[in-house]
Amino acid sequence: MDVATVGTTVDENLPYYLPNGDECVVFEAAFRHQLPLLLKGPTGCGKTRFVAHMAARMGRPLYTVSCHDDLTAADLTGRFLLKGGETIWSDGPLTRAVREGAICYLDEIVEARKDVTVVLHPLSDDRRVLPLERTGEAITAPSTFMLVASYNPGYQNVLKSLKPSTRQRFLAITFDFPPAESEVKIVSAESGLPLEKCRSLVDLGWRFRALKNQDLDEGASTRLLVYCATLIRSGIPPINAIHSALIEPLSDDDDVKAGLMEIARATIG
Amino acid sequence: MWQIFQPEELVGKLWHRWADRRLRTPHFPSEKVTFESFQKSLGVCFRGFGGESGMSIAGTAPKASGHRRSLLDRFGSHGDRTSNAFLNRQGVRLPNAIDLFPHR
Repeated sequence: MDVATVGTTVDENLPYYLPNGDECVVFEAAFRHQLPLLLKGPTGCGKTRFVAHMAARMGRPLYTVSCHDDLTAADLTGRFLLKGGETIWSDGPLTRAVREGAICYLDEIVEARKDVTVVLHPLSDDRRVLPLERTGEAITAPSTFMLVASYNPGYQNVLKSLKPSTRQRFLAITFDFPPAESEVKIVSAESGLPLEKCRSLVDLGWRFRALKNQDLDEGASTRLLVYCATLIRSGIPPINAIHSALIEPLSDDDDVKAGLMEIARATIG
Repeated sequence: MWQIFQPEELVGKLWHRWADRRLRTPHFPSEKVTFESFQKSLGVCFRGFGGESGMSIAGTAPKASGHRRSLLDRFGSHGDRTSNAFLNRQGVRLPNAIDLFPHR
């Protein structure tokens, strides 16, 4: 299948995503021109959902890899496995995505080991080749293959950051939490809680976000607001839902939690 | 007994005791709430409700209040000392302790 023949489908069966700018247009242009894309933004702001939505819109399978400290290039490309006394090659998610012309999403790419960049570099520039050192193959990516990576700049430090040589192979989009009125619609659509009740919850979320970098490491994510609204919808009293879904995940400090609880009581009532 | 021979002292003492009982604000030391024990939570609340993040939040010691007093109060005591909450450019100041309520 050629990239030109892949259609953009926008129907109700797609994973729900409410655009906040031109991110869908940029993604589609990147896909059409076979350019890799980097998504930057805080946790729980909708990066993963955006990729799932766009992959469905492009009609391509999606391979998502959550990167971690021990993720090596071999975990992405594949390895030889022993099966019934035989040694057989098993493709990793990146290799499968390249072979199938799918979208490969590397979530929190900076967490992966440095050797991962060795396989990403030839794949993310104009060569679009995945070299498999162990099998001696060099797979040329079809036009429908797309590499998408994400990271949270808030977690970065000197030891964990993308090298300029890697960053400059990607187009990049910065994500943030959606504006309050959009976030109300998202939380309501995801949880089924009426808009009016979601409004005060989103207001509370923004109050908690104001505490980032002073009282909290991270503000309340849209994902946590959706969890909270889901609990409220299921019949749990709002203040209990807020305690379990917003306050406990945000802090372990009893004094901070007590302060957050007071803000919640005053905001939600 | 010697006070019988010093009626000014006796009258003064009785007057002071009576006036003090009438004017004294009740305190409940066992139910005292200190600023120190809530300092961190109060800071979170202040910022969560829109307070500036750079402002300091500290306690204040009691000071002569200087508020307008009743005639009886003016005769009966030297005036109250209170810890008042206030906000200025430096930050928020709150009483070091409150023990005016019978229950926490």
